[in-house]
Amino acid sequence: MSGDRDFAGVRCPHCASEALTMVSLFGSSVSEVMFRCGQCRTVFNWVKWRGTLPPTPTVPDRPS
Amino acid sequence: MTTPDKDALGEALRNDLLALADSKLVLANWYTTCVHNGRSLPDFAALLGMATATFGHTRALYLYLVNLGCDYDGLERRAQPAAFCSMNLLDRPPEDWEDFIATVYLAELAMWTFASGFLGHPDRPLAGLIRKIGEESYFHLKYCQGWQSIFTETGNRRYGAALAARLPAALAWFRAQEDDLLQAAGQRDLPLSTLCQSYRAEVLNSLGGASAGDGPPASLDGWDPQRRRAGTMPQRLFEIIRLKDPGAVLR
Ligand SMILES: [Zn+2]
Repeated sequence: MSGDRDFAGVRCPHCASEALTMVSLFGSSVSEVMFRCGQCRTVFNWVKWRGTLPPTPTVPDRPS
Repeated sequence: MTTPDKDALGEALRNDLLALADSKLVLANWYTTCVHNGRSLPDFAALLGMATATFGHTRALYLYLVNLGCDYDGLERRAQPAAFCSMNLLDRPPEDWEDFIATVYLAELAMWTFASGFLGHPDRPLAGLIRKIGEESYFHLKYCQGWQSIFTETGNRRYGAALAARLPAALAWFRAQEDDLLQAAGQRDLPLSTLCQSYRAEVLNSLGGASAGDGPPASLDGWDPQRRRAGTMPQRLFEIIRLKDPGAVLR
């Protein structure tokens, strides 16, 4: 999906289009984001966790 | 400075994690109580989703506190508002939708910034729990940022005013004792004062320089460093968050 780095590379599971609209950050379950495909109009849920953390004060030698 | 003893360190960690857990308990109740104010179906899904995750964080932290000598049932069943350690920021209910989003944003970011000090904690289960909490909080903050964008695009000034009015209470939550025992003992990655500065910078940055500043510091009256709050949780809030008596039904 273009325009939002949190969803880079997400594609429609039916037609593989990347022309998606995010419908809801919390989809049919807490762990999912809901998208609608602009090409085939499928609505689908995508598991969101990619290990991204909110802004975190820097510590030089923190384990990643 | 003398080397802190094991008991004092354990107590300091217990206090800080309980302040975090209790604040999350209150925040989760903010989500469930305010869900009917959602502006759309995605809002309802988001508020209930964030409530689920936040209650989950509270429960996970309470369970971790058992390792530090706490009794899980005792934590859940505290019968007096004075026994709770939630942040003052969440004492006063939201005045409107803008104040709700501003407060939730301040609370989520404060709790994350505070918790992030334990990402390098020597007890790896705690560090892992904190990381998981962060991954979930990321999307709570993203939800707030979505609303922030809408407020900015529509020239909504109420949001910035609400944020500025609440910020001093949020900053006060980071207040440190003279010696940050946990940081000195390598259990907190950064001093609380540094975490607080990062937090303040992030909040002001979120306003894109449109802030009028963060007002005078919150009052120190009645500050309890152990519970990380001033005074006692309001009775009305306590009635919402406390576990109800067996057989009680809310109507
Ligand atoms: Zn498609």
